[in-house]
Amino acid sequence: MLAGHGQRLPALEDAGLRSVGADDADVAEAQHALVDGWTLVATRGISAELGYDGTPEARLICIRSYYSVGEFPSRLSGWDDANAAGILVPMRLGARSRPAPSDAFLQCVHCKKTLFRREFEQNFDVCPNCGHNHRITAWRRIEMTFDEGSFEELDADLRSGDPLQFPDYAGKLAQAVAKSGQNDCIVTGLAKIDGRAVSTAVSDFTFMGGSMGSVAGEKIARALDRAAERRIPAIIFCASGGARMQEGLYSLMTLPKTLAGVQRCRHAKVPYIAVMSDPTMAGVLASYASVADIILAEPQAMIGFAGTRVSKQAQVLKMPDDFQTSEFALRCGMIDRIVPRREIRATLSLIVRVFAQGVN
Amino acid sequence: MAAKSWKEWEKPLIELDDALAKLKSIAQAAEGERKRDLERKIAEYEKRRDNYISVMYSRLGPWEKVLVARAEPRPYSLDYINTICDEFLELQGDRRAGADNAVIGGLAMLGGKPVMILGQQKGRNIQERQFRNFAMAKPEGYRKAIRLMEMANRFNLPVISFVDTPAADPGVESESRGISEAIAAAQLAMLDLRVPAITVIIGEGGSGGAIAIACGNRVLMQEHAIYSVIPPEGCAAILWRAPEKGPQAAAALRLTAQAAHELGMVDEVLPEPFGGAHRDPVAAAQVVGAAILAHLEELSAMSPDEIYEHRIAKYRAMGHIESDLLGQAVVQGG
Repeated sequence: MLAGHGQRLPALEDAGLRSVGADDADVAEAQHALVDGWTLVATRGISAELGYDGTPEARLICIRSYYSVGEFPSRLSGWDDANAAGILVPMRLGARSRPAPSDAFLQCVHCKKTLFRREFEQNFDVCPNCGHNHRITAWRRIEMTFDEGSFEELDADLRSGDPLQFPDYAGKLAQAVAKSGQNDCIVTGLAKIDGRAVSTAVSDFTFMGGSMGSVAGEKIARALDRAAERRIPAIIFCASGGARMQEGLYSLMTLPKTLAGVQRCRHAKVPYIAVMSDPTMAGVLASYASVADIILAEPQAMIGFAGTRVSKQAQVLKMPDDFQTSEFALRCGMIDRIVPRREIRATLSLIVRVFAQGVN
Repeated sequence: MAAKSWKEWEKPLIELDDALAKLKSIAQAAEGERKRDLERKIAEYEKRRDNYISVMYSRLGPWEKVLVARAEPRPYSLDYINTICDEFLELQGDRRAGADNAVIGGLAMLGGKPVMILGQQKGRNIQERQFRNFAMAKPEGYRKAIRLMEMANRFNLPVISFVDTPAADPGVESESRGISEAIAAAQLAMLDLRVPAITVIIGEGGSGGAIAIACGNRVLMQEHAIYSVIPPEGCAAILWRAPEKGPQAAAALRLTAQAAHELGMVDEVLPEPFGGAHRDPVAAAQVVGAAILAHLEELSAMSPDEIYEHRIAKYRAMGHIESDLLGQAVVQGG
């Protein structure tokens, strides 16, 4: 709630705030927020001046010149007073009714800092403190990436069997299905990105490590086939430890199977874009992930062929510090770009827009 | 306790063979009654050995298959190529980064027909093994294979690939030069062929390292070869944190030729001579050669487009998938 008119509004400077070329309306909104008793919080760049303490009472300020409204930067390393037409925009961080305390906070899996969940989520599940990209579910990814309400799930009925009667597999699978409410680790369908139709497959690491068995392979191949048939771009988000060994050779055959889909896209001249997130390993990397027309990767994702345990067995010594990371892959020429999670949607949109000229 | 190596497993046989060899050399020098005695003894030992072989090989479990597939005297790719091809000219280099001797390839005449041959090559002694990097191909090896496949496509040469690798090279250097991309690109190149492609798994079909050159229109597998998504020891290490449980993992993975055939991953299981290919490499090669020619003959009826579509459809159809809608398994094979 904003304070009523006629009230004397505090100067932003008194609250330790600074505005850089902000317009009057935005300044006024910030002032009203202060009157309402909110702690105004911004992220790196100006947060130091505010003494951000991460309390739920805090409100967030973001600088709109770099980010559209609704996006909440955690880091503004590129912030530069001279070039930025910076505007302070107070964002209401939730109403007065706060979420239950247990849900309001979470701990960063990397730096262990306690985080304000809302801020964390508004930061695309990236730790505002250390910048660690937390692993996310397929549905969270879909929500972050595609136009709101545009995703139409397909092939959700496909589920894995236990063709080898592999020890403990049926139980593990049933557990994963019950926990996730999904049949397997890949969610596929049609979606739109800035109004343009795409065929997509999104891997979910939380479902048995995103491991690729018959169903994952089939769904990815279908997503690629669909792109080829409809002549729309294919976008695949990778997050997988590799082939699902509990399905034996069926899993190994998902390599050529998904590549058959890639081949169809190539012949149909539709673009195929892969986004590697943490982790993209082994059988997935050695098939569809590595041969996309454009390969993006999230920062610090684990990307590699041989698992560390396998490498250890092979007595591979002297690994570079960044071995099997996005940064290593970029340095070695294996991917096009490392893209922060917040910029993935815009980057994909640009790619799709550019390719659309060629497709249509 | 399961044997850890082929040598350990076949030890009684190897000892019998050694004893036989000694007896034979003594018998050669002997004369008269003693010679006849020795010859009787040799015949008796040979019978005993053959009994032993038939007992051992009639009860080959998955782990024993792993040991036999890895057996040092088992014929390797070049043994087959040199036996079955009228002529073979090895071609080397990926034209990009380097030479990889774990992968061999070249032009050959097979049954009077020109073909392009690819294969993974193991070594028999320490020097050879190092030279061949234990048949673990690096990106250069797969890129050489890609180069040769593209050439085969241009000049209408059927591609024959011999698979025998524990895995692709897992080293830092291979990672830095894109081992995963090379494996994926090799599969793409093979899937894209407009000429017939036949894959023969002769020893170890080790995961991604194998499938990179194993996307043939037909996949043949020798009866004691193995084909797996992961080495059994690696599977045991990941699932149970116990690499020594390889034998259990080998059983669970269903990595034998017979299982692969049942699952529809392999089109034909090629019988091996009595006691395994290593006991009669020439006979083993004749079976392999005849099978390749028979399958080539069948495939030659297809047009280039049909060959391509056949291969894409084959791999596109593989999988074991169930559906909530159908309520039953839709099992697909090759």
